[in-house]
Amino acid sequence: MSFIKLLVPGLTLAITLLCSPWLSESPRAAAQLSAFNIDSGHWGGEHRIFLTLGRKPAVGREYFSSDEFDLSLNGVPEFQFRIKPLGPQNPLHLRFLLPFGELAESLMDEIREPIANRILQNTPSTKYSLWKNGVGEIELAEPGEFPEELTVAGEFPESELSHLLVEASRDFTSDDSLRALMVFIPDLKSLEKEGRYFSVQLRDLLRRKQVLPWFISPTAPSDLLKKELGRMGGGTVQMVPGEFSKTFENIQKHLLSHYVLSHQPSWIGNVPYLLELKFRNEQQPFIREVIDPGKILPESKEPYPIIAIFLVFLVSLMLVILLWWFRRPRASTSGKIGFVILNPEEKFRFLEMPEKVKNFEFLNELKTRQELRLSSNLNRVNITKQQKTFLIEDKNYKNALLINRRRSHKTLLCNNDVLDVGELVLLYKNPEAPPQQNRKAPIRDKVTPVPGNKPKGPLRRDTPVLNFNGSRQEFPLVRNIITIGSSSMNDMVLNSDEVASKHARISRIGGRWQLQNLSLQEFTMLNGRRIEQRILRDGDEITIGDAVCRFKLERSDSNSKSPNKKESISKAG
Amino acid sequence: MKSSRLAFSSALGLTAGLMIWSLLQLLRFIAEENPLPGMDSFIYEGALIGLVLGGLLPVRHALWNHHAPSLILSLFVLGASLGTVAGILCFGLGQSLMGVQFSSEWVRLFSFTFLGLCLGGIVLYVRPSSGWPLIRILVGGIGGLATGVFIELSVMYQLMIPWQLTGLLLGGTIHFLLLGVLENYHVDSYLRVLTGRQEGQLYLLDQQHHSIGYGKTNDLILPGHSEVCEVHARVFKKDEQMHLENVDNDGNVSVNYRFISQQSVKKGDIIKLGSALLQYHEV
Repeated sequence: MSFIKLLVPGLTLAITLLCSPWLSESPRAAAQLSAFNIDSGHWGGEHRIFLTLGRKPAVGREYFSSDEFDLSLNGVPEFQFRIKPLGPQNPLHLRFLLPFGELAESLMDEIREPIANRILQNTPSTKYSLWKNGVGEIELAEPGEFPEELTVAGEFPESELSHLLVEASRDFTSDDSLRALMVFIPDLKSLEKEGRYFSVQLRDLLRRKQVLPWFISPTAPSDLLKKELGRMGGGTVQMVPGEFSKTFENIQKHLLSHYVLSHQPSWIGNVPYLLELKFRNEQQPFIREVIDPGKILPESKEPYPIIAIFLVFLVSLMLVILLWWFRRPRASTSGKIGFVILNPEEKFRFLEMPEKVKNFEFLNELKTRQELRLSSNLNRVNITKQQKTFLIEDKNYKNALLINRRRSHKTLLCNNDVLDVGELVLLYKNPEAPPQQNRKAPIRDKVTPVPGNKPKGPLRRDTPVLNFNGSRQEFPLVRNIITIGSSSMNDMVLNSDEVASKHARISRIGGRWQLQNLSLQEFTMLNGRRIEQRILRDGDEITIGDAVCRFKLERSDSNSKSPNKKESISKAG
Repeated sequence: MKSSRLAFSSALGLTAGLMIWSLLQLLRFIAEENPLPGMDSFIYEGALIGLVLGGLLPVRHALWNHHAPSLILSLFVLGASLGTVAGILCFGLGQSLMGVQFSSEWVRLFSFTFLGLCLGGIVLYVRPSSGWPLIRILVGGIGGLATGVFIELSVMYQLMIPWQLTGLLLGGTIHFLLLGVLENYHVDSYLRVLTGRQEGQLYLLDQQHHSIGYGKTNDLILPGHSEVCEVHARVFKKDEQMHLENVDNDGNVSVNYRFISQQSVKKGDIIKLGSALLQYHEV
């Protein structure tokens, strides 16, 4: 229930968060931030931001002045800044990429002429250059020379456009100029075949290098390309025959209308910040953008639709819940009466109690993977239905049948009783049977010998001991023959219902010790196996009735250390 | 048994990767319209990665053992909040390296490794009884480094499927896989619950010591038994053998129906804690 209580507000919160982009939609300004250079501002240098204002200065004035703007960084007003138009200090650098590719000859002539004229006429605020892949910037030997590279037609490698742009934007010299790359592309359609235009990394790189890409092509550009180039501060122009000079003038005019906003940040390092610029008498900022030194974790190209993202998130959430649900415990019983086989090799399968069952012989038909050995006389273990459960009577005392790890001759089975039939371990399942706690015979525990007379004098060091469960006392085997049983005539007396009056004997034969079973009704086990007689080894576990002890050839350290110490002291003395 | 848990862990890792990716895309969608204030999106991304991994890494045991949803949720919230803080700190530290002219590749690798180390610590903090603290933290760091390397590789080769998704899926999986391998390395025994609500559940003994009881802080939680104490028993490894110890004086612990206070257990032993019946197995 608490899970559901948490889920409802959680979902509400999630939906509100998801809807928030739509709730607060801001109108986009016509002005644009084209490029910026903040690399020099790492350690207190200047940030230069190139932008177009989207409007003209008042009549009678040539340019806007810094006094007409309000700048705020991360919402905090900033007063130390300048806004200047492009000029001799911040020139425009136009770079033409060569080769143009296979354009029509008439177009080539039309392009060559203005370029040739202009390249040779650098002005204080505008610089022109030619750039060729693999060569770099082309130096013109002397003014008036028509560059040879312009005349040579070559194939334009569209597939390497991104690479070309990166290379071409690399070796600009001055830091203060706004750069534009003029790229002539014979066929924009071949670009589209590639499926994408620019990676985000390229976009970031060009922006930070203050490079604006301009594509000029005889074919019409797609809307997506227009949008992408627009975001990078560049653009694309369709070349109309006979009007190239005019088009070029327009591009140049647009580029020259850029302003440079320069300010000094008060922080150290490359931290992205939100820049807001507005006219002094207006409410809405016309530039509101995050100046980002470049994504450390780059993004994939286009944002995915919100529905798809949300679906993926839901799927992942469902998967977690599914994984949890998948691990629910599956009870093998499902309310039937029978046994669960507890041997792990048998995959814990369920064995239903057959109808009209008389004895345990049905277990002999069971096929086990490990071919477990069962008791031999299972037909002499009677099962009779009593009330809602079964009464088990073991007529053969030599059967290795244990109920709850204990030998019993007549037991009413309770729910969750554990039966050992030879090597097979069964768990009795019967929801209607009385619970185990109601069983009459209390489970006795910690059967330990009645302490007899303590042996006189020091013990030999090689005297073996019996260590009983539930008792710290060690019982040394001081005689050569030791009898064990419930009668007080024995050397070791165990008071228990399951111990016979003369139950077992431990005797010394040569240098070894032997355990012998003396009782016909009760049993003696060595290391979990029923035995008649067996030589004992160090660490063996002996079960006599319901008493369990461990045979040790040497006494434990705490007892044996002290005489050693005494010896060493006496030796030293 | 062990391998199925490893597979389970990896599946959870894949899911974590998917979840991180969708959250990152969601963040990007929101940032597209409203610029994120103050910080680079890198730090936000770090916070989201920390949130999901920090939340899911500590609950993998609770999911595997099919614990109650409220318990899983509380563990998730604790881990996620710690993970978010760790993500902001680690990625912020990485970001500040940009100021000392580290390239973004190194910043990414450093940030992911550092976050991995922190996540190792968070796993340790949320589930304190797990052993080998230093190795766990180290393995977390290796997982983080591997995530960074995967993301570098997917950036380098510009994979056809969304590269971030590939990197995150692999990264999430490797985090879970490494921890799973580490935990499986020492496992050679498990407990099987024979009675009660969790009948049939297998619990791998993968730590140095485990507590058993009905309390939520236990490693093996036994709900729905009338005679099980809050912290009932403890299973621990000593001299390469599992030992069972009675912790609460009010509760009974018996091995093969003989009451014990502390004893070693061996294969096939029936363990009874109050009214709950368990069986000890070796793998």
